[in-house]
Amino acid sequence: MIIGLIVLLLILVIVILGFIKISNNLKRLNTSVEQAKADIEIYMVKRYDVIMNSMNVVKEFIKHEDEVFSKLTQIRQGMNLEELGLQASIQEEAGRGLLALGEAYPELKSQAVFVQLQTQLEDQNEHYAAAKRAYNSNVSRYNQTVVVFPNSIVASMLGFKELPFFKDEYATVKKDADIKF
Amino acid sequence: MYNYVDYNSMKRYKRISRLLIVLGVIALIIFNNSIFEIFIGMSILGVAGYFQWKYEDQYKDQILLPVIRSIFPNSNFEISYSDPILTDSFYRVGMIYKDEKELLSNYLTIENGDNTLIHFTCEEYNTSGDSTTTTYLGTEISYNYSTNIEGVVRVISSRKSKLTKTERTFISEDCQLTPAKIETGELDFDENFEVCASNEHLGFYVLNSVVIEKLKAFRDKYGEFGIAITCDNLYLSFPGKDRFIKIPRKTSEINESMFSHAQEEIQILIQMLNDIGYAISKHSDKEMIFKG
Repeated sequence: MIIGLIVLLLILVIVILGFIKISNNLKRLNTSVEQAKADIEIYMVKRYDVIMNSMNVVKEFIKHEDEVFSKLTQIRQGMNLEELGLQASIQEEAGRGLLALGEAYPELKSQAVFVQLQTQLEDQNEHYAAAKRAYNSNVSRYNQTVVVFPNSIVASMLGFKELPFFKDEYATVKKDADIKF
Repeated sequence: MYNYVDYNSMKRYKRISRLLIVLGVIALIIFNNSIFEIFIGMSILGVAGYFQWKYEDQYKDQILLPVIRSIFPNSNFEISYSDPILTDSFYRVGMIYKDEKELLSNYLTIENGDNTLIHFTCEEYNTSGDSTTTTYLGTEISYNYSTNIEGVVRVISSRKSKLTKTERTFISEDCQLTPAKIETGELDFDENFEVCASNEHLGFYVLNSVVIEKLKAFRDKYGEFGIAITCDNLYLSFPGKDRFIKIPRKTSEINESMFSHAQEEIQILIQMLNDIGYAISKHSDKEMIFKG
């Protein structure tokens, strides 16, 4: 009877320790996903700033100024993935348009300030791409942890669900980010 | 090519050395009844050692170095069998590891400006501390390339758990500068490479898809390697003896093709490092170094 009780207690202790370990792991992974999302926001803000600065330099060459400015919005903290994805696509299009302007207008390409902004924009594109890859990698790790047994039981008890990957293809789906310079 | 070499002097040293070694050994075998006789035998061997040293010195200075310098005129060479390896920068970025019982020494150093190639040995002291056993031979390279990144990214083309104890010299287990472990999400790459970085974002920033492909190609060509990428240098570590250039120990082993082959190998390596650096920094290609 006593041995049975001790065995039962031991099993209980193991289960509790296992539960705590899995729970901590899930929380840690969830935090790293949130951190990665915050990084995406940071680099999108930086890219937004570079694009806006570039706009000031090239505004006389832009044909559809209002359209461009109306589509680009400042990145706010706490935007959901869809909003971020949409803005990312708009930034992408805007950035591509800015770089294309350099090809279309040689006088613009010869300006040092434009070349500098072009370099900054390309660098910010790289940073954004890195932040996106980091986010998706963290989500992948998190999702893999959430779905496997016995983590799935702990996850469902604590309300951890699979997370979506970050995509910046919403613009093409929604067809409302068609920016032309 | 070797016209200016004093062959007669070298041959003389070699002959004298051999003769004295034979005499010394005979003396020790026959006349070992008193300390005085043993002393004489040992003295003969000592003098033989001196002439052998003179021969090796002349071989190195008058034959080997002129040949190497004629093929690599822009580089400095140091061939030594006892110098302590200059490892500060390699240690800092986690490219070499040694514990207290081990001694690292470089036997070949090639320098060209800020670029360095080192062949080195790792020796472990035995328990009494009076002799050593060679446990590892490796090559370290420091290649100057401005990547402009802020921090360090370390990539090892093998999971550390797979390395044997002696191979651990190849790369430091931990490095304070690279606490963040990175999984890129590319299965093939993640299975075969281990990546640590100063922070997660930097790791993903450096390891863009082009860099990943370049690193895979590098692994296909060179096998196991470690690379630490900093703002102004690429540090590389390769396990194995005499990578890229082999220094012959005898005159008979010297031939020009082995050095010109080494030059080609080094040029290919530099080209591949340039490609990796370029993929990180998007800078224009650098001019070739180590080039004759």
